[in-house]
Amino acid sequence: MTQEGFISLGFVFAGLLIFGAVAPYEMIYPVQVLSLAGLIAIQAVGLNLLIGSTGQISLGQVGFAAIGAYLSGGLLKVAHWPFELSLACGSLVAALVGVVVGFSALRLRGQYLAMATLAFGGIVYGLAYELEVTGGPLGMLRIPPMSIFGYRVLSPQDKFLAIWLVAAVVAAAILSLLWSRIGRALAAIRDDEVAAAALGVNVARYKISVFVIAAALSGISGAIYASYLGGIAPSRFGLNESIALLVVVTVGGLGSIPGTVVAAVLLTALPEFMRQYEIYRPTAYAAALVLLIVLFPGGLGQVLAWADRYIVAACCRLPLGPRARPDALRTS
Amino acid sequence: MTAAADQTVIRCVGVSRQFGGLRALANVSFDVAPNTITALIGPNGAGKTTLFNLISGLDRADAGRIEVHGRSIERMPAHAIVHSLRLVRTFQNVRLYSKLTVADNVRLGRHVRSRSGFLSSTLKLPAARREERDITAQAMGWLDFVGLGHRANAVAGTLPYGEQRLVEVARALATEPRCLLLDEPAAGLNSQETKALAVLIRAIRALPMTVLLIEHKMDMVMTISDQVTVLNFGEVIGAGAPSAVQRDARVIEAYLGQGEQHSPSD
Repeated sequence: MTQEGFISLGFVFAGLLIFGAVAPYEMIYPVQVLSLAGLIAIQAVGLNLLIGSTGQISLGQVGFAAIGAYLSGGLLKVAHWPFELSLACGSLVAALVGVVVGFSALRLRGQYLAMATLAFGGIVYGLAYELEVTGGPLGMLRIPPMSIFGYRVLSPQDKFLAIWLVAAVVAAAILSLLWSRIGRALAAIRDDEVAAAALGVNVARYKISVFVIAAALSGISGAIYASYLGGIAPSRFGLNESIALLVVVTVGGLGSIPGTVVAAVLLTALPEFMRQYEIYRPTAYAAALVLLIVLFPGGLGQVLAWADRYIVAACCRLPLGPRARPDALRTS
Repeated sequence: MTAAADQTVIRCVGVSRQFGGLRALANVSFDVAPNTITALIGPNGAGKTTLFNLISGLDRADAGRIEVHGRSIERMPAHAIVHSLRLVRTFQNVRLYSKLTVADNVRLGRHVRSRSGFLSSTLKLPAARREERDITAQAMGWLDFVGLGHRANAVAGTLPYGEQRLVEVARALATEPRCLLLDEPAAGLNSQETKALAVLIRAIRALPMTVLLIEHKMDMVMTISDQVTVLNFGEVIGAGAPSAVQRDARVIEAYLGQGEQHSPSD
């Protein structure tokens, strides 16, 4: 299935990358905030694939990010592996753990799956907190920075660009995946598992696969996070962080990849730009959340879908524009 | 075993299924011969849909054996029965994906006959693109076959009920089955649509295809079926050619109660 909103998402990515490329040093603060938003977007896209495409819920998603972060950080710091390899290894192990969790998730549904994944997140947090190799409650410090083919990514702008490039590639890849026979099968599983099985769709295989993809994306995000900050601690991978991801997915719109990315940006930036209100900040943030959900019950994806339709309609009116019908987007 | 028996498409031997205290199927045995239309009839609650659920692997028998093309389905998940044994079913209460387009619904039927994996689907490799074109062509072909080619881009849920049933049939056919199970395909259709459906089911048999059908509309059952099996309270109470079944005393009793002397088609 094509996802409405992908044209607008392209503009959002273009805007972000241009911003990262031209932002002067005085704008380092927004650059850093939006870098974190990019890392959240990578995870949230995976989580939305899981929840929005197969209806499986995960309350321990950052557990996978923790695995990626600690493993990649450790390999960089202790074993002096190159960043590319550490990143690959961290996300691969997160994906493998995703196989195990995904396999267990097959037998669980709704609130029971939520509880099981909550427990998974708790276990990872507990291990990070108690083990010696992870540095205990103080965490792991002095993690070497990202480097790509020997080029060390050090400046905030470079980090920003690296993170958002990864986010753009991830979002494009997931959108492309959804726009294929597999995307159709996932939609079928979400809407009616029994009918999907009766058509020969291997429901279990796809449900596990999606769990693995979500875990791998969290792992990638975590690994980059470790090198981005240069230090990690268990408190960065707690229940709050998993809930925050869930909020991003909800505000973005279940199943909408474009909406998720924009929600990640908005919800990360919003509290930062509300700092001037000090003690009213949590209240104002909560009010903004409620307002967003009331205004756009279908999520921000809905807004991007409208924007896409507007863009397509505008292009059709151009004298030399494509001869596409306004409904061209809806037929995949 | 004779050569004809070897070709039996579906064979149920002593199949039983119990739901708590309710005996849905008790010791049901029957065969479906290749390239025939076999009707499964019986009053409501006779166990017809339960039997469909067992044959399509969505539910498991408590006792007995079900074979499709000579292979036991006991340990086969539902999707493997569609994939490997080429047996597919439709549902009594149409289970279309109402939010997807008609074309996408039928494309879903092609899923099981296509193989592009995660990587080639994501990267849109040439093989995946070619396969996607083939999926669309085949889906359109089956939509034309049921006479709904012009509805391809409509959202499935907006179609009238009769057309939704046909889309479900097209979607099932798109999986390239050798055996098609239709659960009350004529339910909710007017007489015009029912006649068209009868013509369609005959055309499906001619593909060639084995059709097993649950149906309450006796006119249709008696005119298109080669074989009729009658279930009542989970037991087979009659089987044979339509004309023979119509005269069967036990069948008449099950349908009309004792003392009546009408054939079930009246």
